[in-house]
Amino acid sequence: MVVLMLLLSCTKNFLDVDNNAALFRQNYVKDLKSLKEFLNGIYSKNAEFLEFYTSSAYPEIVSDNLKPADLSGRLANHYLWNQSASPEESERPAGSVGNRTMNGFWLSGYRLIRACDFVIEEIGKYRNENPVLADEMVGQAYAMRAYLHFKMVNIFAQTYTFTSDGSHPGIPYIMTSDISKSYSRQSVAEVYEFMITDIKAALQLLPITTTDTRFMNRLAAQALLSRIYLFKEDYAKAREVALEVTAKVPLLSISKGYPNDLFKLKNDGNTETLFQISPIPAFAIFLGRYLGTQAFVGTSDLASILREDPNDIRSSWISQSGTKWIISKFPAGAAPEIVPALSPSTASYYIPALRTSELYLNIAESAMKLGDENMARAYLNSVRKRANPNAREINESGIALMDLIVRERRKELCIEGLRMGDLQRWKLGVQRGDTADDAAKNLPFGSDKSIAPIPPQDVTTMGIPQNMGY
Amino acid sequence: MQINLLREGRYKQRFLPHKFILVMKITTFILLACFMQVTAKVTAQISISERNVPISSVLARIQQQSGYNLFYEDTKIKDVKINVNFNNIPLIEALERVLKNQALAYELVDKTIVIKTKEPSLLDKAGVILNSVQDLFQRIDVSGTVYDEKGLPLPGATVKVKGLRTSVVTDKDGKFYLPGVDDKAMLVVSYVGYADEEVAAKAEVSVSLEQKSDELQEVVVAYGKQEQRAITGAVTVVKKEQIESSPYLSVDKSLQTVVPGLLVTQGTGQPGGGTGNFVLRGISTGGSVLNGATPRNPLFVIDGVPVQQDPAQATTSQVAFSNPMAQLNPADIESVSVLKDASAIALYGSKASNGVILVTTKRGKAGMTTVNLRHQTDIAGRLAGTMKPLNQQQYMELLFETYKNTDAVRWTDAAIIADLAAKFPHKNDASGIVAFYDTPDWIGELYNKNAVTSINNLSFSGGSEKSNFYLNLEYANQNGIEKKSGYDRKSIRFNYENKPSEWFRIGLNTTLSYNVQNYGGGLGEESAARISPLNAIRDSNGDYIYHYTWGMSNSESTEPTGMGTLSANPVVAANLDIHKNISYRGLSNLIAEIKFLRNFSFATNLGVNFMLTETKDKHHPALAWSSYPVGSGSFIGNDLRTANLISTNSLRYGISREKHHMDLMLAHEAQVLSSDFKFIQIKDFGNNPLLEDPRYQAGTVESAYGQTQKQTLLSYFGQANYAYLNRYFLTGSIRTDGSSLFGDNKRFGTHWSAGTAWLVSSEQFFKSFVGTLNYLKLRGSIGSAGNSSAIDFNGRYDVLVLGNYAGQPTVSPNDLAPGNPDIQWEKTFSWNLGVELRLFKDRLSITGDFYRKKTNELIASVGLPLGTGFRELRDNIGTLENKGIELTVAFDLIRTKKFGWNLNSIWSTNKNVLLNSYLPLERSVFSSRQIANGIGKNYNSFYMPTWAGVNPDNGKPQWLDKDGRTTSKYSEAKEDFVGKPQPDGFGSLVNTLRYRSFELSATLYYQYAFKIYNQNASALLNDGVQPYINQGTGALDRWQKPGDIASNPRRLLFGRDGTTSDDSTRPSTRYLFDGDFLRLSNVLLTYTFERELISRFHLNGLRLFVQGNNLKTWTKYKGNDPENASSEGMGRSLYPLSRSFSFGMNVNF
Repeated sequence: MVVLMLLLSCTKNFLDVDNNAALFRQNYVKDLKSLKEFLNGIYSKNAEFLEFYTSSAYPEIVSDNLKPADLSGRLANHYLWNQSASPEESERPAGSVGNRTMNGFWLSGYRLIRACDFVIEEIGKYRNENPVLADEMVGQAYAMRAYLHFKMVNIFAQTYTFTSDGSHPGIPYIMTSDISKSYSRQSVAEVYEFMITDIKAALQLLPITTTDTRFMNRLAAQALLSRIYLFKEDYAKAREVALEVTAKVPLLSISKGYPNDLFKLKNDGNTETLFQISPIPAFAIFLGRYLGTQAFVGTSDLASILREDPNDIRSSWISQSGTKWIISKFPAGAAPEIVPALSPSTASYYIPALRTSELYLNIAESAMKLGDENMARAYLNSVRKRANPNAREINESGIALMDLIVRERRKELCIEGLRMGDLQRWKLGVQRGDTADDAAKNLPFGSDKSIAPIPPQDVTTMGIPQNMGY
Repeated sequence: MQINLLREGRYKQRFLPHKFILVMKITTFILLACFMQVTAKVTAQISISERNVPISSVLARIQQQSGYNLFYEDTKIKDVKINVNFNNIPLIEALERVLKNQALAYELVDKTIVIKTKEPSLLDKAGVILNSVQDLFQRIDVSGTVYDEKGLPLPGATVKVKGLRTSVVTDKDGKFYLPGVDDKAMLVVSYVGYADEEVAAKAEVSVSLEQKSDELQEVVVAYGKQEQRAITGAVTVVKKEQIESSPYLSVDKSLQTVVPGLLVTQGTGQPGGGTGNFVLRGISTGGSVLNGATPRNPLFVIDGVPVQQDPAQATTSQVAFSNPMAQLNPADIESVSVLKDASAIALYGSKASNGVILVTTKRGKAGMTTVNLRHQTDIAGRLAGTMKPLNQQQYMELLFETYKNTDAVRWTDAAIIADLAAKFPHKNDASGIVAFYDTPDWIGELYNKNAVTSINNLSFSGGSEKSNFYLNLEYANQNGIEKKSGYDRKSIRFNYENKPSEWFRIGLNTTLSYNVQNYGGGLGEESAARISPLNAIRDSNGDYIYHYTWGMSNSESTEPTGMGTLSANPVVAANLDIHKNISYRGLSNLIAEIKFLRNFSFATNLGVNFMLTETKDKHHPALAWSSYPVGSGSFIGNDLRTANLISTNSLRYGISREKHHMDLMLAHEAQVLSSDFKFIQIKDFGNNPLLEDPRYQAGTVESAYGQTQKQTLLSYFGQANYAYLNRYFLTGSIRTDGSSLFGDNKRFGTHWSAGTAWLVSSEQFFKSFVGTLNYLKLRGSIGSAGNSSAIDFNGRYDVLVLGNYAGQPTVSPNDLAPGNPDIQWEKTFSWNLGVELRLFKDRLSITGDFYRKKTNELIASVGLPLGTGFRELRDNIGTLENKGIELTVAFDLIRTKKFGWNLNSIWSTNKNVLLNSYLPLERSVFSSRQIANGIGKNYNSFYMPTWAGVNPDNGKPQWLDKDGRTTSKYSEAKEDFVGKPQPDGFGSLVNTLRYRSFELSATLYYQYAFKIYNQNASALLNDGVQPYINQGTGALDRWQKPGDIASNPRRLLFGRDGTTSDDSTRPSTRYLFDGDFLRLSNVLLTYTFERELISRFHLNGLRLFVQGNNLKTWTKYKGNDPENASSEGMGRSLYPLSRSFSFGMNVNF
């Protein structure tokens, strides 16, 4: 009898163990709502890893806006252009002292990219539940995929204009969540084409009105598209798209809260921020926290530019403390919505990922390159006079005008992650007046060390070519 | 009439009470078990041993010993002289024997023995009539003794009247008594392990049984027993005598020297700790050995129940502190069968491809109850390694040089002294000059010189033809050589089997144990080796110094002006901290078997394996620990419960027809493995040093988590054994296993095996050789086995982590490994060829095996290209091959009655190669970074740059670059495969001398051709990278000036010349050493008392022994101990092994 019962109990169902010991994607993501949570996870992990303070600091450290407070600290090797190929795998890029790579950025970046891919692949299953929401979700996924690839292509590949046609190695543009598929490095030109295609796809899907700037949206996608065209030196399109956005979202004036409100969440429409990264509860890891003497300080180069006009409101973004320049661009306690409150409060603010000021500068630069110096001066003046209404009306032209655009862009967008990309794009190389160390003074344009090594894991196991010089 | 009644009483007493007495005995033993109280004389027992004594005086002695009154009329007795040898036999039996050939009978009336003239009963009268009619039916009372081949009485042998059901069992003197046997009958005497003997019935018989030769011995194999000669696979049988005096608490460690093909490295000396290697015939899985996990270990099956070996507690030392095998008492083991090849292991599912170790526990034997007391005391001391720390003077010499090499201008003697005074405890002498304390005796303070272990077993066993039992009570207490460490085990085992009828058998084997392990944090050795000799244990007042800021930790600042790291004095920590594992273990199985339709039998086996381990890991608030400052303290409570159930049902059919013999089995097996894990960490609790568990108190919860896991396994299998002429043997098996770990499509794995054996020496044509070569058997097997242990319960899923963004819930993939729904069983395909031969009348016996195993679908965690978004993936990555030879040679050089000399040698070699892999070079994320896997290389090989010595010109370190030239830049050094942690070969040589009752044996054990990466050496030979910790004496041989040929580079503070680091201590072959060793692992002297000598003390056996363990080691390894290494060949300052001396005794009564 017992035996019989035992035998009967052991049918095939015996092996179907409900595994609910943890949250598994296979069991959990089964409708539109849970897929939305999965999509939201991309923003959350973007804030946690790709806006981890070392990630945010990287483009400013390898260029000329920031430097490590202590040469035995984090990103010191990057600052000294002493990166090397090593299989370091820290999830948080350059998250430990002595790290010589940006492997963590590659790892996290691609995981988020594959999460975008997963949303794009799966949305068809649940679209019926709410087609409007589904379209917005997949639109966000396309635009985020382009956004993430753009960040990465600037870290791991030479700028678009390194070769005349962008045919030099870019990064893998990954459009499948299936990790068993092999991948290879596309050329930079191809990467740009894919990004543009993705954004265009997103623009077909994203709703006209923006409801929450903490999520990717139509205007932000357009702003990103303008940036991509600018980097590609397709100035006409860069200006065209930028103009469309600036017509809807003007510059934020001082009276309406510039500059501190750039870093806040504003629901009253008085903002120029198009896409902002929200800090996430319990992770006080935004760069603002580390801009005291703790990890990174400003360079005297940056200080001299920001402080050249003492009446410019932006001159207060940097101040001297002993021999060090302390950057205070990011206001403390600017994200009171986050509960529990972030501690220290210097980590409590929103990171503006895309905003109108950049578009104004895109327009100025594009117009200049397209020969419309009047337009260039007009948009440049708007940005200058916003920060100091009494600033001189500029009337330079030619190279002098271009220099002013370059200078203004560095001033307005400093520590927002664009500096290294801009220098490369302008073929300027990096010149530091701030350092006594000869090896750290000058990095010529196109130098091997101006980009990070590809993780050796990908070189050896996926067979993709390593960057030159690594 | 009255007489008749009395006589009835007599018969009653003779037959009925048999059961009654047994019941009484069992009750008694249960009472004993419960109360541990020994009650004297349950029934009157008589012991008289005399020759030529008158009956009257024997009766008087009986009266005296029994306490009964005696009543008889002298005239009735013919006071003849008789010989008696009664050894604790019941009163009734004694009377029977005394009066046997007398015309006398006895009665027991109350407390009085009445001896009377025998008067025939009605029945007897009838019998007389019948007898007189027909002599054929004449009945006699048979009494006799059964002896073994040495002429010693054999208790527990069964004496059966041929053709009848009547049978008795010999008592502890080998004696039996069978009344009323037909005088023409034949008696069959049998005993396990002995050949049956037939004798004709007569009043006095004496039977000698011959032990069965090895080939006829029955051996426990998969799901049954088989005669040795019929086995087609490679099976090594370990008898209890081979392991019983081992100083180790767990059977796995005790198997080190006795099983060819089984590589055992002791790993840690922590009492109750895990092993380094425990691998049979090479690594055949890619499962991770992180934290001391045991996927490489063969499967242990104890009485039909698989038992887990994974440690209950994660550990960072790569060798587990805790070992679940230590919760099971090795003294309960009767035999161990190690199944190595497909023919033997294909019948076990989930983990069988690593081999199977079947453990059978002791059973009671029919016959008188035996009480066995076994005691062993070990006295152990630390087995010192080859690394010696510097004394204070040498330390200072090196430190001063380090300072001056770095910056001779800045670091004047005065500046150095001032710097050291700021870093180390010191006192000022009378003139106010800084004076440091003398070098403390760290070793003496941290270690016990004479750590005592006491192991005690008290067992009761016995039984009848119908039932048998074995009850053992154990108390083992092992004090570790590290202070405050040890293991304490209390266990009970009860095995019982009953056969109510010829066709039904039911049995229960069960053991429970309670274990307390103190593991002392495991840092003692490391601390002792590294701690600066300037760090005093006590200050000048004799008070403990609680903390040191420099010269101890490996995470100190890299600036001389830095803060140092507050590290606790390990002696104080040993006193205040609590590191304790409390384990409750239960292992039980119920077996029932019915026989039906002549040739069929059905058996069901229900087994439970239960373990609860509670870890209490407390760092006292008075001490800083890790990132916890003074005042915080840390308590980790960590409970792991595992409960595994197994149900096996098998149907057997056996048939013998003259030349043919066949057994068939069909079976079904289901297993449920479940576990539950709870973890809590608390800080900020009170200062009470006695507080063992602050969870009740209001501390702050630092973290808390837990996990529940469940896995089910379902199997169907069949086996067929066929023998022809007892000379040709064929076996075959097939098994299908399903595991819930795998995805729907990959759930089942099917495995099969086939084996054959040919007993050449039984052939007619062989008869002429038998004089020299008396036994020759050839065997071969082929087949496959599966393994699912390399994956865990999450294997096929993508784990999500919860989060929140902009007030909305989020889920995201975790950062470690993606799920793999397509992962499938590892499959190991193997073949084995074996030869067994014995020469010169069994004097020389040789067993050789040659095997090849191929593991396909090897499951391993491989590092992924990071473009996947993940770091690693568990997947089927490739194919691994092991091939090897095992050889056992036993030689009786001298074999006389008085003197014997036997040599027994085991040698095994194994070559392991990763044949293919989808990654040409793979470095697992979690393994030691010095280990990699490459095609064509040993699975898990060392991979690092090659050290090229010190540049004599500038003292810089050098490595080989990719062109084979030397370079002083570590970044240019080429990494390469430079050796492997698994030995090419290993073995043992046991030399046994016997003289009369003395036996002396010496065991040598060796492993050769492998390497150990000495992780500790990069700290103890660190060239100033960690300037303040102590160095090994090897560091004295360093570069000082141009032209010096030295083995260690120049010394620089923090290893830096300006801002550039020399990188001299980065991983390279500088710290990779040959591990070869030869160890005198055991010398054992035993004395077995002659039976005649001890019987007067009512003892049946007494054996005394003394032994020494780990007496001497010869090794090339430059490190602590070649066995203080993990299975990945990482040598660290693990808990050292010990050298021990034991005394023990084994008493039977």
